[in-house]
Amino acid sequence: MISGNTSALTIAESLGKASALSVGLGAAAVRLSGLITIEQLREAVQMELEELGLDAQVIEENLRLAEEVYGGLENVTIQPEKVPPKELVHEMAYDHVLLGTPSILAPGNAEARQTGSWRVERPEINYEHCTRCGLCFVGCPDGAIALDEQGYPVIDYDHCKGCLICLEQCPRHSIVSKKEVRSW
Amino acid sequence: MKVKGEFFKSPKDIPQEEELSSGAPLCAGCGGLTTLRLVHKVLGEKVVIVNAAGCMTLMATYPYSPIRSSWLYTTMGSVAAGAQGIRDALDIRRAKGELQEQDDMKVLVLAGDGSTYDMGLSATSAAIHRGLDFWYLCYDNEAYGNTGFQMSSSSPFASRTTTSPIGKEEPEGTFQEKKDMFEIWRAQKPPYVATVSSHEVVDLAEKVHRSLAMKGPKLFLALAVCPTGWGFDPRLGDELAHLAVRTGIWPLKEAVGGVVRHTVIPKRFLPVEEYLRPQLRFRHLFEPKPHTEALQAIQQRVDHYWDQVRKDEGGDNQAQLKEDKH
Amino acid sequence: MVRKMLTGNAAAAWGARLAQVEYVPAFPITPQTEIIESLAGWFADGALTGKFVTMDSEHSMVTAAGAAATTGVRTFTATSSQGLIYAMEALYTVSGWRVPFVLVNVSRGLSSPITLGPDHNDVLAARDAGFIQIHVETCQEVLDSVLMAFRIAEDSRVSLPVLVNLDGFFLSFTREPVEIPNAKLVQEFLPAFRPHHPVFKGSQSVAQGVAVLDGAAYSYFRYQMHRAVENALEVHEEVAEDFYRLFGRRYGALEEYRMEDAETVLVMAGSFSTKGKAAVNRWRDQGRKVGLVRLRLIRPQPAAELARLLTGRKAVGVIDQNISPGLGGILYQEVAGALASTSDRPPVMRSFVGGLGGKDISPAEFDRVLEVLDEAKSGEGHVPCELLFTDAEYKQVRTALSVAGKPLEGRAS
Repeated sequence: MISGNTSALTIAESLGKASALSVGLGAAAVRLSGLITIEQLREAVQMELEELGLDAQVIEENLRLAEEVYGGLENVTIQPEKVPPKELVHEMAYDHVLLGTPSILAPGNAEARQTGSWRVERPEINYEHCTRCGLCFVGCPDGAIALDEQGYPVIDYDHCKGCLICLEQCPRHSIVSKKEVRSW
Repeated sequence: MKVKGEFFKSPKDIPQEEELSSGAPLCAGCGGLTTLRLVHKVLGEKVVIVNAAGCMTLMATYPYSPIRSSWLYTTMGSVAAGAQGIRDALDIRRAKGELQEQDDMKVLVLAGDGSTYDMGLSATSAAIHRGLDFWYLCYDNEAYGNTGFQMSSSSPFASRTTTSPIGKEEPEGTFQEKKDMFEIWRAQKPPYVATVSSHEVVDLAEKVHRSLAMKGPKLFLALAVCPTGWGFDPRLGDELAHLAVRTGIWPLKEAVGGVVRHTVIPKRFLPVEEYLRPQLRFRHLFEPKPHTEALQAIQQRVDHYWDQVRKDEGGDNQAQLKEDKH
Repeated sequence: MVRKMLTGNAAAAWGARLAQVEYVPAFPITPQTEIIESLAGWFADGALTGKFVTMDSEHSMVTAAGAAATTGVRTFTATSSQGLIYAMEALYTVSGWRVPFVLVNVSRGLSSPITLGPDHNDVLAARDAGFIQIHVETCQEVLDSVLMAFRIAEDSRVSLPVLVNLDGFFLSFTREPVEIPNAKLVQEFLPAFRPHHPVFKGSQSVAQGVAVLDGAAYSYFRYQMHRAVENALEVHEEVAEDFYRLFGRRYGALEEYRMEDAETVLVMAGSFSTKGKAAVNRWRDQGRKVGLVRLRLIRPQPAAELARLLTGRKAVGVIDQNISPGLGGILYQEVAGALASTSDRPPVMRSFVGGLGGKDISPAEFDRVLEVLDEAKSGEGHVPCELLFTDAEYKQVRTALSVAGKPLEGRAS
């Protein structure tokens, strides 16, 4: 989709923040809508980021990202459908209170949410130098590091959000970070 | 100096059992989540968490919950009253033989500083007054975090929030001092009041364990490092928690029956700048030019606090404190 | 069965006592306080077992009540006026948990200006909170309704809190002969509380009251609450039948008074209905075909029953003891809504506001209502609500204005 050899993720990484992706995605969305000019996009990005108190240089880089994404996309015209598709209206009956209450009877089911997809950088443990001190296990906000039978830490990449607190905490610097390579 | 743990000697003693599953939709690097996870490990599995409106409310977002124990979201202002209703009902059912001992639960209030220091204080004070047997964990990130970081009465002097912005007329941002919640609780003479840090895990676990045998209101006031609100790279979360302790800004202490002792005292106090500088909310104190007056005021308050500790606390701590003077 | 001269407050407390409530979180407010004082005494002397706890506010009190009900104990509480609206956030919160308990509200006008006399702005402010609402007329009905309220609340088709409303002063402090039902029969009528909702216990975790950010799921839960409140209509009917069988007193969702051939109908709620009935009797003696409908169930609204009773009549006058500034009487709108799609609706419908802050509605004011309804033209279109207020009262108000040092001349607008 994006022209040349620049990907939004590459630019975002050059800015060092996953949040920069939102500028790129926003730029893509306004391009596809076909309703917003490049000048309006620039102005909107500028105002949003200034309100966040970001440095001028960071804002400039974000503007560059927005322009590249905007310029790199084909101009697609989306035709709204003239007659909306027919949908059935559900007639809702009373359900037993066990169902009809905003309660959760399967506590701990948040495990099904793969917060690992948030990750931009990936911590990896170098087991050669690991002393099994357990600091990374206790310090992980998400409980995404467990200890195996020998006491070695194991990262659960389905849930590790990539905060890298473990990397900073590790007294032997046995945790390194790698660029996340999975597709989005 | 660290008070020696009786039950927990090293991080390895922290229970491996997780009471929270992964997959909580909270920010990466959330210090409040680390704290809750550790506190819950020591409290064990039979807990009902009573929650006040705040970041942690999003933990249980239908249809998912990471909490393997029980959970009740109440309101921002009446969380302690919710705890009262549950505790009383459990006691009534126990007394009537309808609820067996193994079905009893510990009642844990989980609230941020917005609820704890502001809206919920009246209900909490009343619960302490009634001697309610409960644990109260305040994840204190020093502002209304979930709404985008507005000033609360926990926001420290000279911190920037979105409602105490930096301006010509108000160069400090927040010009009020943070409320002293430890002392507000202690004034009502509950059996246990403690401050904790997600960095000092042994101290934290030890304190929670010590409280297990105590009946009545028990406060755990946790400095919850907040990458999103404070403005720092999440990877620095533990380091900042550590710096808050090493600079003396976040004293680790407990009050058992009202008697205060400090449980972790830095060997050498670092200047407060070390803690303040990495955070966007304090950047105006350093750039474009140093706000010397405010920095000095913060340092002086910290120094004054520890001078007072030296005067007030006797025994081993005193000797240690003299030696450690910054 | 024992007959005693009881105030409405004492009758409410007796209802809770007979229901063997296990938990009462409380907070004092005039004119409700006598209820919680009686209950405190009964917990203190062992007539009731469980716990009475004085809370720090009504907001806390309702939260604690909901939390205790969630944990599976039979819970009762009471408030009034400012207390009810101070608890407003908690009312919506606990009904969302879908847990049963009973809240008695002793109606009192709202501040500002702060006052003590009754009207229904307090309780009607809570009409959308997801509580069932029963409005009573007599002290006997207070006691009976508290018992019925527990049955309705705890039914699996409902599982919601129920609010029983009685008027301050006119009922709360007025003694009437009240039959206190036999405790054994009450147990038959109202067995021990068996929750249908998930209950907190150590061996079975549950997350209650969780955030629902998805609009579809939110709509589902809110609509389920609506369905549950609607169900209370059917449940009320069954409960009322059981109650009649055991205790010989019958209650409908609506009360009809001399409606058989009525051409003109007054619609009212609460204790002032007694005054309305007296006016009806007087008019009947004069040969007028007038009847009265008393709204007992406000939520759920017995819309079909209301339509059945009012269609085909010549004129309907709704007397609201409340005022929605800029709209008028609240119940008038509700009655009109129930009739909107009926084919034979009354050609004359008028809204009257009276009895605010406990002001009397005099026989002359009732006569004025009838006069207005007689003179109104069929299909006249919208007519603003009329305040029931006498010349003598206006003179009295003017005198007070003068005493208060207000300039009376040249300040008409």
